[in-house]
Amino acid sequence: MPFFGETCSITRQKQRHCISLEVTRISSKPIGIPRSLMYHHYQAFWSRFLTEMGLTCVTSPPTDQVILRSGLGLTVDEACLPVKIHLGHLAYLDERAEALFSPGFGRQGGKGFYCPKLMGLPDLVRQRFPKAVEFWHETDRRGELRREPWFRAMRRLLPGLRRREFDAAWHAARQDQIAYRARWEEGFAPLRALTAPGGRTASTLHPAAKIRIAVLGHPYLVYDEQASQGLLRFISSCGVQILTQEIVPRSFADLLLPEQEKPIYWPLGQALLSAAYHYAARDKVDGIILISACICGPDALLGELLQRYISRLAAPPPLLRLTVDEHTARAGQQTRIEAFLDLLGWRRGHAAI
Amino acid sequence: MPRYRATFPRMGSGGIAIKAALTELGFDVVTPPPTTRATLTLGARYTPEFACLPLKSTLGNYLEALDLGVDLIFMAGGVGPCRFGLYGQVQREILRGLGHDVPFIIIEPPRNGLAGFFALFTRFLGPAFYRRLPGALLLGWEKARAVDRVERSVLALAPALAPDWRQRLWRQRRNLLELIDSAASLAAIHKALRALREFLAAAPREDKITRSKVMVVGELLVVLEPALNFHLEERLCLAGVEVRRTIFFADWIRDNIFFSLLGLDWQRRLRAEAAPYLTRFVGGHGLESVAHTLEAARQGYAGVVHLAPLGCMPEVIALDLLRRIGAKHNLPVLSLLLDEHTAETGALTRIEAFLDLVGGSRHTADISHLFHKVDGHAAAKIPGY
Repeated sequence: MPFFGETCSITRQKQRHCISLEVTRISSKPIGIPRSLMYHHYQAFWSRFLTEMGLTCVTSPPTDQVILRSGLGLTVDEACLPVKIHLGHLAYLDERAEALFSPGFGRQGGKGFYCPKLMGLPDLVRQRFPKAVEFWHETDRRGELRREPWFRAMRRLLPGLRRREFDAAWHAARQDQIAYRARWEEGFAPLRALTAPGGRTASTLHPAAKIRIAVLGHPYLVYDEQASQGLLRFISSCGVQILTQEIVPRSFADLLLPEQEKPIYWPLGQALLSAAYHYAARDKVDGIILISACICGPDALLGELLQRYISRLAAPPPLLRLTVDEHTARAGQQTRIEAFLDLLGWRRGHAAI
Repeated sequence: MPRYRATFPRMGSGGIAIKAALTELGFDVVTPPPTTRATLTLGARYTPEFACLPLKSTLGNYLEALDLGVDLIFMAGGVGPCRFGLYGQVQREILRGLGHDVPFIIIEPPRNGLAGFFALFTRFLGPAFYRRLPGALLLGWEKARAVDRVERSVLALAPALAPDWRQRLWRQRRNLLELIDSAASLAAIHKALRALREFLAAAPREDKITRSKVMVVGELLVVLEPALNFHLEERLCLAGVEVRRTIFFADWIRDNIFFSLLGLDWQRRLRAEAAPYLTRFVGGHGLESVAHTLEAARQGYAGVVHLAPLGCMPEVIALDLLRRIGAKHNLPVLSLLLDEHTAETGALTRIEAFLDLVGGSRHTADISHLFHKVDGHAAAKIPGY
């Protein structure tokens, strides 16, 4: 296991491994947090809560080829890319921590759901990783996370844990999470919301740019460089201002489109449609890029609905749909994006269109 | 009021019950033509590539029914977490995009109270709807139960018969389904069931043969609709395998509608059964697939055939866990992932290999029957074939 002193001759990838791996403390049990799935939405809560509980957090590095490949070998081919990546992260952490934080995602808001694969995920993980401890995410109608499953999980890790300590840690973590989400409203998307300086910003990744593009998709694709084949970085390097789902103002974040009779029962999916509506009708952007995983159940249908609903609005922006899986080639995707950006530039130049 | 022509998606012999209920309510029911390769190709042309097979096959059903002339389309809705609950919305949009202006009625738990739900029907049937509703529900329910009884009896009896009697049994099954389909009253249904009992009593059993027991699990539509699973049940039965199917239409209605409305936790037994592997509901029939496979392992079944549409999310969870269960309990599990490109010959070859594997000393299947030619002419007559 490399330590900081050995970084001189090591490649950049391994350096990243060093930097994100904290030297193991003597005091307490290291628990591995996978940088996958809903990490980008919940990272503030997870790390604060576990740290307050006295555990040492070891977070896996951003997804890379090694992690991806190890994940591919751990489940059936038909599982979607985000699940494979998640398993790869857990495999990475399995060698470096004594317990694994294994999130599962159930009912949201009392009525909606996450995707079935995320519901069954902890059971899948448990088969392969005996060190996994299930942390079940279920929110009630007010949007509050249910505490009981977490208390049970913590009792497994810390027998004799008292409710008072648990509640105190929960409260602190909850405050951090609220502050983190508030940063989204200020325009700092998850990748920068923890590290960027205070204050508002008009853009997320590239201020004072010419073309504005909304990059929509699940957080475990958009913010994962490996899964998205460096999408955000590439677009940003083309001098484009990027807007994402998370920075849509909360009052519009789950507004139904005119044709929708009922909300999509996946709140994450409804957020996608509402964000598209926001960026196509209210805070108009020049183009929308929708990134989905191959075989993603929800996205197959949501993409179809999104395309149809948005096309019926007045002067909707062009839509580019990208589908990724573990075989996606970066060059091919970049070519498509370049063509799309050329199209947007051309439209700008010929304003009559 | 004029009689409106209504159609619904093909879902195996469940169509018999749906047709009965809708007819009794006062619609002229147009049953979609049997699902074929052409139906799937048609449906796949207009649906997202990665959508699951049931979306494509049901859309294909609607498009073919529209050619025959319908005034409205019925479809079931849902509240997730699997994709099925969104089918109605997506299909409605697709049909609209194709220029079909037909009203599309999605039947799902009413969000705005029963009044709004009933208004969907009174719009086409007038106030007579309320008078006819109890009778329609009763007739539909009784037909669903009768159909299930026929199918279960056939599966239970087939292994005990000689090959030529199995053929007769399967033809008799079709006759009985036709009888139930054309029954206009409860009395007529009971007459059909009497005919079933007489046949069962008359068939000569050969008890000395031991058969391989195979359990069939998986997603609702691909298990119930023979056209989507290459008439697997018929082929296995004729090949002398004892088949235990785990999904029946009336049971599904009972669990998902009656019990759910009553707030009963009917999944408790399934969770207990699936416990070491899957601890909760994951949508669709994922929990059922895992629970029944474990049951098969514990009860000494020779093998499990797992049917799922490609990409079906709950069944992907089940797929992963079923492989582990199979390895741990030494139970052969054949998972068939079906989409519009799946070829019949390929699927049957795999099943043939599977039967070779599950055989051994207990195996007396006559495998040539696996490749028997399914009677397509019969399929045109009843909704559920």
